[in-house]
Amino acid sequence: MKTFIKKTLAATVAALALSGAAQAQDALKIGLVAPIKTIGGEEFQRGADLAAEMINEAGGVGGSPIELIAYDDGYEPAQAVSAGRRLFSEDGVKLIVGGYNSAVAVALLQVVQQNQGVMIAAPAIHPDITKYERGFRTNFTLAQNVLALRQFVDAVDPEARIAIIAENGDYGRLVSGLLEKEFGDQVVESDLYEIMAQTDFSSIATRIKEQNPTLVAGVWGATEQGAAMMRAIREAGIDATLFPMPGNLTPQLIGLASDTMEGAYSADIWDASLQNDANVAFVEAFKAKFGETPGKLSFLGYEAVDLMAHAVTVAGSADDTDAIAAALRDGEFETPRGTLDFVDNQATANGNRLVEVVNVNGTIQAR
Amino acid sequence: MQWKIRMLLAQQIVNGLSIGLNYALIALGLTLVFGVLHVINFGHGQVVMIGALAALYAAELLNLPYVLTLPVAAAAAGLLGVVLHLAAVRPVVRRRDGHQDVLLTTFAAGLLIHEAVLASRGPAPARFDGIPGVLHVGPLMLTNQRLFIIIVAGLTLLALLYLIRMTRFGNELRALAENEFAARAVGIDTGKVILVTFAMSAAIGGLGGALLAPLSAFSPNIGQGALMTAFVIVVAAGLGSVWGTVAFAALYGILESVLSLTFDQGMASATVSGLMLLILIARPNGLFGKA
Amino acid sequence: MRLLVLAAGLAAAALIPTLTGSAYILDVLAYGGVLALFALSVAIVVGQIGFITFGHAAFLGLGAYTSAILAPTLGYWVTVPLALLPGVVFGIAFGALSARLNGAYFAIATLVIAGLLEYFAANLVGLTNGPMGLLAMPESAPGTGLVGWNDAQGYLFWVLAVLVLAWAGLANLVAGPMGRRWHATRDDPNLAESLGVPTRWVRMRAMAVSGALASLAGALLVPKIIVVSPTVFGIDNSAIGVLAVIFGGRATLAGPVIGGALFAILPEMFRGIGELNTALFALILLATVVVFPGGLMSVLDLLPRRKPKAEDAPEPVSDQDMAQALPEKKDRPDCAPILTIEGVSRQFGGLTAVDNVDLTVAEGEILGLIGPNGAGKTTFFTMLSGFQTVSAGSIHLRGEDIIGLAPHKIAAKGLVRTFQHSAVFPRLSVVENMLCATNMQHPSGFWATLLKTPRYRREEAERRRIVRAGLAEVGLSHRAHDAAVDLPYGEQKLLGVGMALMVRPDLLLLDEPAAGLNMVEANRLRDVLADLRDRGMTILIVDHNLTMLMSFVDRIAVLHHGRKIGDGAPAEIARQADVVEAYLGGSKEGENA
Repeated sequence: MKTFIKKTLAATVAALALSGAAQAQDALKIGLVAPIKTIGGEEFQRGADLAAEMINEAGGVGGSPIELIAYDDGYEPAQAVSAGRRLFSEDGVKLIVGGYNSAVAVALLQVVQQNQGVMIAAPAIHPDITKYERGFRTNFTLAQNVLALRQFVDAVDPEARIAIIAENGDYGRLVSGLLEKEFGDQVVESDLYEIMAQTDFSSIATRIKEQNPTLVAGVWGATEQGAAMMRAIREAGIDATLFPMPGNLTPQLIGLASDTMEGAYSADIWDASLQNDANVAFVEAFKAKFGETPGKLSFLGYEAVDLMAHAVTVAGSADDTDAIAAALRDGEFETPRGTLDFVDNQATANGNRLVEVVNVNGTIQAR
Repeated sequence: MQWKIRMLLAQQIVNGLSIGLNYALIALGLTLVFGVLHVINFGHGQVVMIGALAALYAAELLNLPYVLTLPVAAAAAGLLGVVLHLAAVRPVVRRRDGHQDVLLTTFAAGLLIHEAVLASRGPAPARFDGIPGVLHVGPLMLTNQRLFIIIVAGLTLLALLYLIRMTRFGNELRALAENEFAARAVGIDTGKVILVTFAMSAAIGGLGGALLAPLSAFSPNIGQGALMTAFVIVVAAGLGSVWGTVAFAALYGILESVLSLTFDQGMASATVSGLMLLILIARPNGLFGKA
Repeated sequence: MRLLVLAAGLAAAALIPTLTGSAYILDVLAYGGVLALFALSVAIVVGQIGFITFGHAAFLGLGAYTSAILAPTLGYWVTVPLALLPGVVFGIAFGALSARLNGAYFAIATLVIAGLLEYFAANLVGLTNGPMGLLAMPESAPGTGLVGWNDAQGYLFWVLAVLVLAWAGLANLVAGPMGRRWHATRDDPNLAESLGVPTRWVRMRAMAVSGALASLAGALLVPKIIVVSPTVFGIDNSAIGVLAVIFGGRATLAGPVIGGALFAILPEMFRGIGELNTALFALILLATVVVFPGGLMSVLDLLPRRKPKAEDAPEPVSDQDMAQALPEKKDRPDCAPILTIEGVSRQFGGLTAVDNVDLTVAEGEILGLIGPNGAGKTTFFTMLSGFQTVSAGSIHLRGEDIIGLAPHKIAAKGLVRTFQHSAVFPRLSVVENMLCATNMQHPSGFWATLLKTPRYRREEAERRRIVRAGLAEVGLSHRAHDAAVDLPYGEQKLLGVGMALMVRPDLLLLDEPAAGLNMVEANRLRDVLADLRDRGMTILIVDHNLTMLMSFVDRIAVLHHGRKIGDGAPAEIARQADVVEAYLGGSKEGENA
């Protein structure tokens, strides 16, 4: 019996070793770790795939085509760590993009640090990410996030009575906490709702209505919950301005919530209607390939791969991760959001852009 | 109590009733199956999802108006329920540890269904429109979809009760639930009764899914979350009790909604769950369950 | 588990980490070890005491969070054994819950508890950092520096070592009296109670052990997941535990270990497949369980076969053994009452099953209780043995009031009953059945059993000697290793009597022991009972076989419609008119018995 177990074990070990089978040697391998079986992860992956495709069509990176190796992490640190380790030790990957939520991103970064790789984390926004010298954050900072609303309130409704609805996860809690701090008494109601489990927002809407808000700020990860929430608010008869916080006003959301979102405002580091060259190319290619306008997650995926490729070009090597990290730290890059550079490992560009939904057919106008 | 608070409370009660009755439809499926087979069907959540999906396709591809997609949902889900039963329940339930095995097989079957949907249409949620409009009664408001849910759930319950109490099939079902050996001894085709019960349970669940989807959106995950709540409800009500399940589901919805006036949603949910636990400890077979 | 096997296991634990340098493979194997440990803990609940649990991740999370919270101050590896504590405490709570709830109700209650813990973990941000999770940075495992291993190898070694030790300890527990109590409680709680097994306490202790192991697994999980977030309490983890046990084979311990390991390894192996990896996994689960009820262990044809161990080979049983093993021979009675029943009644709603019965049983006497069907005899018995409450009246065993005591306590005080149906544990062998009944003999402590100390071995040998004597007494020595369910009905009844004897009763309550026996079997039974009588045992026996009964009881009491209508020597009773009418159908029809 014991020999049997030992034999099985040896066979399993061998099988695991072999299953990370040999791949094309001269490709530039980039690992992608995201919850690719969910809508958010899928969007991210689409952007990343598109970037790889476009770069490869233009000749690759220093002649080598990019090969994206994508693994599902299901939002779980356990899976993300496995995926990360597999990428490093079996797939010969040193560069990773991904890290959807905070717990996963931070866990993954440990693996990256241990293996001296480089990781561009998106869309996670955990402040600790930039503490790691090999971790780079491309999504907005929390300060930027809050600033978005501040700018709007100052410009349009200085006396705003603000209601906040946030998902009860790392993202929601971080943002709503900061908003409460920033706006103090102006926040008349702040609620958390359960991720995934909750489909009914009528109770929260009723509660909010009591406080007569003039502005409702929403923070969510799952678009369908965001859409349901926005609709519940309107259905309850609240006609406050709707302000999905940065990252949450997406074409997807408009698809699900349609006329509810008319007249809504948001701000973000990027929008599909930006008119710089990089973005125009990106948006057109995305539409051509997938038949719809890209959302922010796709942009982040695209940008991450793009940045990584550029950094490798600047560093001149796919293996010298120190050089690649340095290239990211010191360089200036043209991406669909504009010109960006990394300040303390945090991507910084020309700030937030205010957008407004002007009509129902999924058009978002940037201002 | 002040007028305002009374109205708030009333609004939450109305909201909660519609949520609760929707859960009731989903929970009913679980309790029916448990009543006759004494097993828990872990794949029920996915059947609910398929019902919603079938309704979505019926609306998108066949251009059926919403109300007509409901029978499509029920039929599709019912069919799936039959398949689930034949593939995952019937082969294992008679074994000595069958009730444990059924957990695994129905879970695996549910997972397969979920993965199949993910593989074929991806994870993207989709908008699914129900009955538009909002009903105002004084200061209270209720969307027509929610009102519709209350009506449909109520009618389904009545139909089910009629079936169980007044028809021959219902007698056979109750006999089977009470004592399978005796039921077989008097010549009841227990295999058929079980199969039909399974189909019915799935059909009702699918209907529940099609009613639920317009509230937020259709998503491949729509079944799982509902299933957890359904578990809590059927157990606290008492497995096998149809009336109990509906009553408790309504109670659950109302309680959660009313509590969320003061607590946030998570806390309200946790409180209701905690209450349910206390109920179980006080009454180990559920509030209305048979010992 | 034999020491040799244990040593081999530890050697394997030391060897495996050296087989590969890949951090990935080491990581996956470690995860496999942790899940195997978790599955073992679930196996105690699902396989050994027969309860389904949907909330075992509660323990996993408790262990993980305990470790993650304390690690910054104490260092990670110190927190690992500390994590056992919350597991035990919570396990006892779960055990108390299981005493109250059954089956599906218990399962879903555990689900709710795990959900509540997840909620608290997400919201007590001060303690747990909420959904953002706690980052753990475990230091090197103890000893890795000495042997030149890297951190991943050291971690894997310790996980495997703990797994092997836990497995060995658990195997010892399962093979010993504790395991027998578990099985008895699982297979037939009433029979177990009648043999003195305190079923409630047994469940609680089992859950405590299970909780401790699961919590340990949770603590060991930390270096794998690096960030401990509330999802560790999630239904996914609970499901993995239960599924791994069923998939691997719940009748064994090896099955869950393999199942748990596979739940870690297979998904990783299938990563390369792409989109359909989870679907494939689900398909394998479904197919295995549908086709192989015993789980993987039966697939691999590794189910343990019942083989007589060398120490159980039939040995001649000396008279001295018999005397030591069985209740002492007493001289014939001096008529001191051993059981005094006064005014006992039992109502069920409007129906009076037992009506104001008085009865005294003297030491060393054989008392027969007869009456037509529905007379209330069985109800009477169930009240005496504690399985049913009393509506009115008193019952004193040697002067001590036993009303309200749990059946196992009454059995411990010397009043043991047998059951008319379900007299044995069908799945166990004859010897195992008897051993179950010895649970109060030379009781072995928990730690002694776990570690299989010399003292435990002596106690176990003693128990087996007693069992051999008991089997000789009822004439079943030749059947020692057969499954109880395979015995002919008459021999099952004899086994039931033998088991009751193992409890060292002063007063034996036999509920229709001759029912369904043919004449040969009935004679055999009578011989056994006669021998017991000669040894001075007090016996209260209900039966319909009047020929057998009349020939060897000292006294007969008659119940009819719940009331006692006769009490005296057999010859008198047989002539009493109302007894004859009630039982035999009227004196005018003559003696048609």
